Amino acid sequence: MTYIIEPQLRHFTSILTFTTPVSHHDPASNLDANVTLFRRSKLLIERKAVTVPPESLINDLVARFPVPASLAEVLETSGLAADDFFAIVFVKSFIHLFNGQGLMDGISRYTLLGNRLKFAAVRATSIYEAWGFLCDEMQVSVGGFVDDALSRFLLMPQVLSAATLDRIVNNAASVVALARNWHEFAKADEPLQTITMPLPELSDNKQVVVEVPSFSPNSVRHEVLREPGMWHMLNALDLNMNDLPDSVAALFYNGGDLNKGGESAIYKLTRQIKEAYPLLGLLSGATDAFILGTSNIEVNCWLICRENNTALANYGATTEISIFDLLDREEMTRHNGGRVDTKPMPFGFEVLAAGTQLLVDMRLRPYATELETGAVSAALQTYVNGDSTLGGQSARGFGLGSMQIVELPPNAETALQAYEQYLTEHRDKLRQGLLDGTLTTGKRVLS
Amino acid sequence: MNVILLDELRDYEVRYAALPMQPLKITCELLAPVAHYHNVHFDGILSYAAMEEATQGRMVAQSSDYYTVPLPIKTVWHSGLGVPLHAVTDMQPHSSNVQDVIYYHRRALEPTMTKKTIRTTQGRHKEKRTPIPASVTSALVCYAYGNMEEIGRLLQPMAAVGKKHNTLGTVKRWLITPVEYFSFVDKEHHARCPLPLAALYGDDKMPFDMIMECKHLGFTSPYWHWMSKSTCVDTGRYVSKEHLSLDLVLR
Repeated sequence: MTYIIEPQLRHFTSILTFTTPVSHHDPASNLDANVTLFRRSKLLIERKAVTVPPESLINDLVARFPVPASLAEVLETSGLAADDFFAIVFVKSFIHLFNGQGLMDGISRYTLLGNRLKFAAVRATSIYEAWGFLCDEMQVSVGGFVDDALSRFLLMPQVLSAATLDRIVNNAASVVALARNWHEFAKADEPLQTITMPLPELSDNKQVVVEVPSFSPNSVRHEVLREPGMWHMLNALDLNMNDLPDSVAALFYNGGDLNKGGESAIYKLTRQIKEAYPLLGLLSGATDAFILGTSNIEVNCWLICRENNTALANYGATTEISIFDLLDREEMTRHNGGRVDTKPMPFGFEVLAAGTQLLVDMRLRPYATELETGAVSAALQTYVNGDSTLGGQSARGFGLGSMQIVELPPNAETALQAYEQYLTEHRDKLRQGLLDGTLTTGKRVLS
Repeated sequence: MNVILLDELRDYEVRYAALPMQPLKITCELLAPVAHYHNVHFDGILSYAAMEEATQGRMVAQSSDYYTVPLPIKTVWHSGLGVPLHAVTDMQPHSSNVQDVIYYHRRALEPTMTKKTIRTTQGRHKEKRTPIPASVTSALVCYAYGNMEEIGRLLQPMAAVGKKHNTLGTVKRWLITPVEYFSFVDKEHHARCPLPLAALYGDDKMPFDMIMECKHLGFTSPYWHWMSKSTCVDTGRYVSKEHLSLDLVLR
């Protein structure tokens, strides 16, 4: 007997549909590609395959791709299996076929191939599909080719396809390097010889790690909750950011920062501050000398795409659309500002297409108060009625969204009224607490 | 320094002492990556849940004193300072586990929002990007010797685990399954959680070679508190079978 416990918390669940493309890039991205990629996170994905092909078919397919002599022995003694070999064949065939178009000119083109190869393999469910994606990604003219071995290769059985794609995803850089060597040796007219490779371990259920575009929940927490919550409170108190000391503004805008230590009676001060300002009870932050403790809300979000179906099934929001089908590119030009622009600088970045949806789930901790619940409602209302953007470059028109609320706690409406009434009734005290940095405690906690 | 039992938790201590206990496997199914610098400690999660419930979310003041939290898990040993070791292992990835790094971006106040010009490249308003190590896995698993119903009840509000749980470590559901036996070690006799040498071998029989292998680690919740720390065999390290004075297996 298994005892199943599904966490019981009050949810604010919504679906945000973007009406303009979304730009959201990872500050840590260091890929040497000529476009800035959309933020990506690792994800475990199950590739379903059907039947395991016979050994003879795999051996026959390996034999159809004779290898230059100097690579043959290395490959045979490398410990690599046939799926690794097929990954190299895939790239070697691509280089061989399209190099005539001047595609692979210089090392940077191989770096580019490595990056795009990985994304093509991640998107695809078969080698056949991956070939098409890679042609698109590398912007080559598809053309026709007469190559029986390659035709058979591209139409390899599904389970072998999944294993090969797995090898490409996990070893893209090595695969490209070996494929390039193969191509160079072949160009030097080295004799070719047929090799045998060990059979891969094939199963009918393959779990692979892929890097998929994702949205940062921390970004959602800021843009949908913290910042609109702050604007709502400041409006209710008839204040604006410029009225506040920097550290008070920072506390509400980004959580603030510790500046010194040694404060005493922290527990009492923390309780007073969190009770006086429900938004801080909800989201926490740091005064000059102490942290306000854990926040009373947990936020997460998932782009609505089939890669996230495991999580989305929990909310009844599964889909068959792949996130890679929603990826698009924007190209822009930065001008130098001169009267005659002699050196405009083009730049590009990935976006998710308009129509992309994001499921946002916010969960209140069990002892979040009614006023804190009201603060969430107020933040959401301000977000929906305010700028309603998520992600970067909103000034250029990116990331405009339309939010549809799916689930609210039963008391969301009354809690909002109670919160607004609280802000009105305690307006002077709360205003003064912000302006003098005491946060109503009678002791200056923010300088 | 004292070991403090809050008044609000005295009732828990009495109730838990009378509960029937059994070996359990606890699975935490996840919907998001889990951020953690060390293993996720299941007794830490239960302690948080019990403390949050007992204090109605108020928790306690920061203090150098050690607050002990009764758990519906068997206590197998007490340190010389009175700190308990519970029959529970660390949470480990269920199957595939991929390490990732998630960057937290602390936004700088925009200078236009304030009267003063704020420097975002240095000082307290510096824009920060903090890397957080995270595990991408479908579930975490641990073992315990405890009371299934009470553990399940305490887990009901626990909807996220690990560091930065306000945006990461989202829990889909918890599964608690009775198993044949509980063990502090795996089949290769490697520790499944930090185990104090004093608990394993007694104060006077610590094998010298084991001491050289060990680290000063927390062995019970709160793991950061100095009273919770001792010379321990770390998770994944071999536990010598000689001179053992602790029953590593409970049925």
